[in-house]
Amino acid sequence: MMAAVFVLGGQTVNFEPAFVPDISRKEAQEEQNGTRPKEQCLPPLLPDAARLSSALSITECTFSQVGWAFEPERWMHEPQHNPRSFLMETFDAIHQQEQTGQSVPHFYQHDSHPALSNNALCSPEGMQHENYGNHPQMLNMNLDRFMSQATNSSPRNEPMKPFMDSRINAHTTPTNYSSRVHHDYTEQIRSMSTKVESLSQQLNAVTEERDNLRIQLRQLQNLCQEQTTVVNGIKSKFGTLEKLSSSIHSLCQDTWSSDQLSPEESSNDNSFASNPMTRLSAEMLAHIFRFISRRDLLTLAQSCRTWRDIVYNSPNLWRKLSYQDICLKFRSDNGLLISVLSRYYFQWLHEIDLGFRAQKAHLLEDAQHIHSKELQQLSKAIFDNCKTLRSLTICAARLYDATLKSICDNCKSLEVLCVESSKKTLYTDEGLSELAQLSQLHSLCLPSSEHYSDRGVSRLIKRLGSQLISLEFHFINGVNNRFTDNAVQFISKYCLKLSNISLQGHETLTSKSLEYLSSCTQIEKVNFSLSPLILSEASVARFAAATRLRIVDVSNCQMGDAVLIALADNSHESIERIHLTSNPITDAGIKRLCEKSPKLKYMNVRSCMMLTNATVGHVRRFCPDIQTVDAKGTQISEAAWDTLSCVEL
Amino acid sequence: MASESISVTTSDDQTIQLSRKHAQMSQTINSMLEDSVGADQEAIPLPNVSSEVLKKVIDWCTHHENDPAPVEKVKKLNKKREYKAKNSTISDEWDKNFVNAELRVIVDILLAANYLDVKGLFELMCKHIANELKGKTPDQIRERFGIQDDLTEEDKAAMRKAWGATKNDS
Repeated sequence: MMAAVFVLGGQTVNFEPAFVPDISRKEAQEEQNGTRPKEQCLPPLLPDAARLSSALSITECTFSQVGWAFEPERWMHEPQHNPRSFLMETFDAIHQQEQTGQSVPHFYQHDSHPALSNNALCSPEGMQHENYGNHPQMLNMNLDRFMSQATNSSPRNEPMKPFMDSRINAHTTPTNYSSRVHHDYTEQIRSMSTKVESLSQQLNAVTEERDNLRIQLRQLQNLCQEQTTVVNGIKSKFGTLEKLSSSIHSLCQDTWSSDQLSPEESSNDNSFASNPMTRLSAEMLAHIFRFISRRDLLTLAQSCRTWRDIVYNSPNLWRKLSYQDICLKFRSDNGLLISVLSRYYFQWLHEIDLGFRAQKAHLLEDAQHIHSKELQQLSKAIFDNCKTLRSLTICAARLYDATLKSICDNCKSLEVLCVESSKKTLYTDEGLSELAQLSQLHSLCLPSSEHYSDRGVSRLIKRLGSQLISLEFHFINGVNNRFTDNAVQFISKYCLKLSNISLQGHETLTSKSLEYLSSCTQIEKVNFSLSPLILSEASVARFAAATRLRIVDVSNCQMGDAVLIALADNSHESIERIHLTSNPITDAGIKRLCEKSPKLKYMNVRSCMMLTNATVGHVRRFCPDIQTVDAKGTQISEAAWDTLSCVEL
Repeated sequence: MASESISVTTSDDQTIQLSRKHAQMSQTINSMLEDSVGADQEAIPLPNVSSEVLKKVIDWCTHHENDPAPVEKVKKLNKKREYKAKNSTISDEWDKNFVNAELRVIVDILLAANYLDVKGLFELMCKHIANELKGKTPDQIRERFGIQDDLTEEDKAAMRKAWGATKNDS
């Protein structure tokens, strides 16, 4: 009934109707039996691409109405039977032909439903021939439309789809009468199925709407439930708030009643204003507390929690322990301070200063030297608790080896240790060797002792020397040092970082010591007071040239102008403070010093009997930064000093 | 040069005139004046100070207008660093009279002095409060300053323990 004819390479390939299923008939049968007949015809035999492309050339390609309305699903699954792919390949081949410059076949295509175009098909005259030339795209378009229809429609309803009506040469078109016979039925079925479809679509729409409504209902129900939960939550919160407000209310009343105690505030009706102290920040309170002695602070701490916390948590109030606090300790009965200090605050203490200088600075009326027994007691408290102590200055009437030992055993992180003493000290080489434990120590200040020797000093220096920055041996009246140039040689050998050295009252030392010390080039501060032999013109010159001295104390050294000039000339103009007390120097020496020390800020020329008013002129002329000159016991008149501003006499 | 009189607006919306000299004793106002050179005549808003308190502050400034500026003393060079409770003695008779006021007023002035950054007045008020705190028992302190005893028995026990230990020591 239908045929496809290809004219390939001059050959005409005919597709016999036997291979092309009679769709109309098939459908009619389906309608009648209610069943679909078994595949009764072979799938259309389509030329495969290989065959097509191997064809020499396609001169003419015309599709007749072939009604290739085979089951579209089948085409999906078996692409080799898919007319679309066949045609695609065909046209690919044609296109290739075109590309290679070969002749292009005439191509006719007509797209209409076979059932509709049957009449037209019958008469060649009625046929619409459309010459698409070589526009494969046009066919593709039609095919695409077909394919989309084929996939969208359900096979049951619409086995037949409008399909392209292609024909091979019009004159070769076969007529098909049998399809025309079924035409009417087909048409009826089609319209009925369209109706059914539209009805089912309506039904679908209705069902969908119902489902939607159901979903909406469910959502609304959920929403309702959620809101109920929220409302319940709010209710319970309300309850809590009520409880809170009642407790606040009762609290307020408590506060009011307690405020009644203070007569000044009773007139205030505002609870906030009723206690003005609450308006002060912790910072301000801490500032106020700076005016309060530690003893009173501890009372304060007991008054309320806020204040206690401020008192306890302001380390600035506790960092240092001074002589004043200790005096309080020994005056007060309860010893609260030391106890609290030791329990809580020794951990904060970084510095304890109980030295003479601190005592002098306080000038307490009842200041008394701490007796060694009390010192022992205090030391115990300090040493047991101040593991973090970094700086310790104590004043020991007599310094024993045992004291040094307990310091060294407990305060291992000491960086600065200063022991002052007013009386003969009793520590020996053994005590010195204890100091070697202090691995952090960088500043050491000890009173001179009659009982240590070069050996003990050398041993200590060997251990600690490399870290020492400051090393001081203080003069104790009546103590004859046993410390000689040899020890200083050790110091100069090991203490290369030394910046401050004090060898006060070491009459045994000679200028050799100073020459040794020239190797410690970091030295900035020296104190050679009461060590007269140490200074010679040559050694001073060498030492001053090797170092950069800023602070020099050469009091009571019987030093003449020559040494002073040697010092000034070699000092690299770096001297800032100088103590020249009780030295036989003259205005000429001062002049040279001032010339060479433009940075001088402090000068102590007390009891330098030979100085006259000329000194003032030198100071004024060369030292713009001068702040203090101590010139008591000189020939300089006060009137002369008046010409110098910023000078304290 | 700007006029000799500065006007400020207080928290209770009053405009108060004060002399430039007094205004400059407050670092706060002083820096505001420096910021707005040329754009004077605008009342400076002081939202944290009431007119009553400001009048007190001006009183103090008037009394102390000729005080020498606090100088860093040369003596400092020789002084060893150490902790010492600051001296809270109020030496000036006028000041003693000035601080003889209700605690509420004292605190108001302290806050205003802090806000306006009038150093001398701030220190004076701190000293006064510190003096009030000195030598009193905790109960007396609470009574004087209207503080509630919110320390728990545990806290107090901890403190008692600390004392007790010392008593045993000594």
